[in-house]
Amino acid sequence: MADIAQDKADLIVIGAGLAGLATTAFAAESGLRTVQISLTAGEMPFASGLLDLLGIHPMERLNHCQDPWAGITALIHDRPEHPYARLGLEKIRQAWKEFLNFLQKAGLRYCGWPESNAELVTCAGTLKITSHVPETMWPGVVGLKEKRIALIVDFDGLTDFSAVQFVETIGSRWPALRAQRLRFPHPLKGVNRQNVFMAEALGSPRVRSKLADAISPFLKDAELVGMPAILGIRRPRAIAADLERQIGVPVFEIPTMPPSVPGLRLKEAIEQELLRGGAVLVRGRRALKVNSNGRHCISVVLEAGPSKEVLEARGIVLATGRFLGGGLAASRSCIRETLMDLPVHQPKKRQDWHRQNFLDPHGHPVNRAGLEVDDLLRPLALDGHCAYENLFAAGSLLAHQDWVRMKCGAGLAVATAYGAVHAFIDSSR
Amino acid sequence: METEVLIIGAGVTGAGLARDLALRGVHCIVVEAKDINAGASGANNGLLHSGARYVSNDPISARECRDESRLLKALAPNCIEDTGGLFVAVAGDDEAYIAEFPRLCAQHGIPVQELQRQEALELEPALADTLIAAYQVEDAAINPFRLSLENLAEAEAHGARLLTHSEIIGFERSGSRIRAVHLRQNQSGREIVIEVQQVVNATGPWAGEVASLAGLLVPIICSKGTLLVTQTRVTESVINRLRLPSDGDIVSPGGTVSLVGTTSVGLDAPSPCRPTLSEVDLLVDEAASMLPVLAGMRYVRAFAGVRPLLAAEKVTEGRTLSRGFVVLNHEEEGLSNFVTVTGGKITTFRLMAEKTADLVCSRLGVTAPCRTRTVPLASAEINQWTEPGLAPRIWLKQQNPKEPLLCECEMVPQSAVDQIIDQLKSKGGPLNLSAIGLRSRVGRGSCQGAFCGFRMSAHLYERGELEFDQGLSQLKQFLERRWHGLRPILWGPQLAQEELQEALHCGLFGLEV
Repeated sequence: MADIAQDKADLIVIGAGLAGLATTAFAAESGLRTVQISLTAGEMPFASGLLDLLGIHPMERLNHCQDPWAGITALIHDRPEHPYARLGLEKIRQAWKEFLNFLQKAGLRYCGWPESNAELVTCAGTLKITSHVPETMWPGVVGLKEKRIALIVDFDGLTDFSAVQFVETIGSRWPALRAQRLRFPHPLKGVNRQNVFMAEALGSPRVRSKLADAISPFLKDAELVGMPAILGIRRPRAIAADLERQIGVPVFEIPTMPPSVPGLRLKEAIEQELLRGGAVLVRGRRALKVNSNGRHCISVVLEAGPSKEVLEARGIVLATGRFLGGGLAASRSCIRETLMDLPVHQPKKRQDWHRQNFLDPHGHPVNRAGLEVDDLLRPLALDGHCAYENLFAAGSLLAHQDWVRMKCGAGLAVATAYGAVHAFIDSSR
Repeated sequence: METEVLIIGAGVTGAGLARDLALRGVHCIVVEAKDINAGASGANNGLLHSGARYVSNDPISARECRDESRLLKALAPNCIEDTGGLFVAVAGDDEAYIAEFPRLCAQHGIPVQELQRQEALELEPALADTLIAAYQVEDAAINPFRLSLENLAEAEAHGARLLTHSEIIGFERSGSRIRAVHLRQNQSGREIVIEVQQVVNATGPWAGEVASLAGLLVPIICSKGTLLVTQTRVTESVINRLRLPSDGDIVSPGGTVSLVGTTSVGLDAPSPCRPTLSEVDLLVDEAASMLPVLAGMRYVRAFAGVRPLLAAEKVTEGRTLSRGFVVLNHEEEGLSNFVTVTGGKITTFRLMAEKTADLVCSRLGVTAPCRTRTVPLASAEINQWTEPGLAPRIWLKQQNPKEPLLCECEMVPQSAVDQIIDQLKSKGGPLNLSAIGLRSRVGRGSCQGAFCGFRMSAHLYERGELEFDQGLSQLKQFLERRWHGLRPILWGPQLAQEELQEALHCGLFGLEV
């Protein structure tokens, strides 16, 4: 106990995905003594590193939201069950602003148009709408909009990104592209998933110079250079700037398949900033149980080798994610919440979990399963009232949202994190 | 174009027939509406029956299986894993049937050995504690894809031709003979005419439809069978339930995985069919009573095939129909050069081919005898990539760090995919993710194509095989097809895998938009 937190924590956050990280950030920024617990390093390597707010609404019409805030206003009106509607527009705006500021403080600048979604091209050559992108991707957003002449480079052995595929697939929307295969100027360790090794290697100025030398002969009339997202795990802007200085044109990153360097970057930067701010991050430990006393949660029981450890807190936020994150688990008969067995809103039978076609624009009902919450984001018990006065939930664990199809994953994580932290502060006053 | 024998259907029967005829020096062309093993040959439990399964209700099939499985083990060892098999009964199973079983096996000359409970549990530790009887038989596992590919490859080496994605649109008749066959090539839409001396309809459940184009009636009863693929192999040998054949009573090894089957559901037509959730639940529950580990197993896929059963007398229930085959000469219906071969099962494919070739050759006046009883099946290196678990072994042995893997689950290297692409191109067949997947293990691992589908598409662009956004429509098609097999098994860790896959393909790539 003593080695984790000296005193009783104000807030324990369970989960280390974007929702858990954002919750810990908001809590720590508000001066709360915060402990974040997670069994794994979190799912951030699976995250693209893009910050979606709302891209599609209404979902079944596949309607693109040009202005995410106008989209959210409409969504709150059309879908009063959606977690965004629990929060209201102003809280979401505030959460977003504060989170972007936090990232900036953590050394990661994100860029976006004011009051408008951005469009960028993914590694598949498809268009992606999102609210904010890492600043190392921004020249690609502008380049696409202005149809600039760009050289797209890829690397031998990096099977997850093909410049030719990118150029061919997006060609009708962005014709002035050329593809060039290069050899990465540094020996690589593994066979697949080389992007993380490449990002680490580009931390070295010598490797960067060699990469610049490899790119320059093919530059010709190109006004910018695109490459898979490998510009360092830390200080990506400095690495990009160094390359740009040597080749003479802007460089931009293209989001790739997992493991994603921009996702890892987000995790690293946020965690470093949280540690600087005094939050306690517990990794590799499973939360086994939450102890309660009537309608109050009092502590979390943690796995500690063969024994257990009990952490007390005044409030708890569940940000344990869905099936991949482990917050939900599905058997053949039903979906359960894994830590506290809280009631899970779900389709009546497994037959209704998924639609007949994978790409059905209505999305799969199982993806809207999850915890139902009150306006303070407290999970509901079967009687429709909050299960505990001081238990909150944030992120994709919540019901009535399909973040993948609505393109609202980061917004959902950040806004509900903000909502949960402020609900805790308000209710514990 | 012209040929002595036109074979319709590139399942295992058509492939075996092509080899049989080619070895007798007869020229043939195999035409296939889709791709190799697109029907029942590609959707079965890969089981080389010793015959024991049929001793009580289908003695002819039992003896055919006994003889054929022995022949194939000797002549096509590359396609077979000689696992042996067990018939097991658990508490509650029909004791009269159990007692009768060894006598029936002996009556049909099928070797069987009774095992003590403890012996059986030592052989197969995953068997249930409720085990009450176990018999060892000579069942084995057979790889249907490799089998068809090798048969076709050997036939082609002897001058046969294969035209995939070519659909029969009509027969041109002249008196009592089919003079020519009209085909449409699905990719180009081009029509071609092949002048023929003999036609063989080897289209399995589609035999009735194809025969009707020639004005013939072949009454086929379609029976859908659903199977499950486990993530890891559960048993060393084939496990059969010791009871009258029923649902969910066979668990057979498929290299690195196990296949759990099957169901039997009557269908009106051999239309493409999907496995359903209720069939999956039935299979899991039934098979778990033999092997309890299957209740909590991760399944990576379900699939369904259509058995072509022969409508004899007034039988309506699929299980009681014969698994035997027929060779119909259609002479009474006024056609002298058209043969239909249907029914049967993978174990007897060679015999089906032999009987059919005998009839065709007698009509052609060819006297060369059948050689598939004695000549070992040739093995082409390229077909080894269909072998589960082989690619990881090769990769580990070679330790070539420069060689990227396009499929990480099954560890299929880029060079293997390149070999397959080159072969597909040289034959002018369409080049897509499904065609490559059929000839290798790509997309068959636990990611079910979520990652390798994209990587393969990228590789096809790299090679210049795709342009513009062709890769996207291919990828969408590939994902929709695999969805049929995934949807009914999405719970537990496979649902989590699916969540990741949707986050990638919809969340990031926006393929649904």
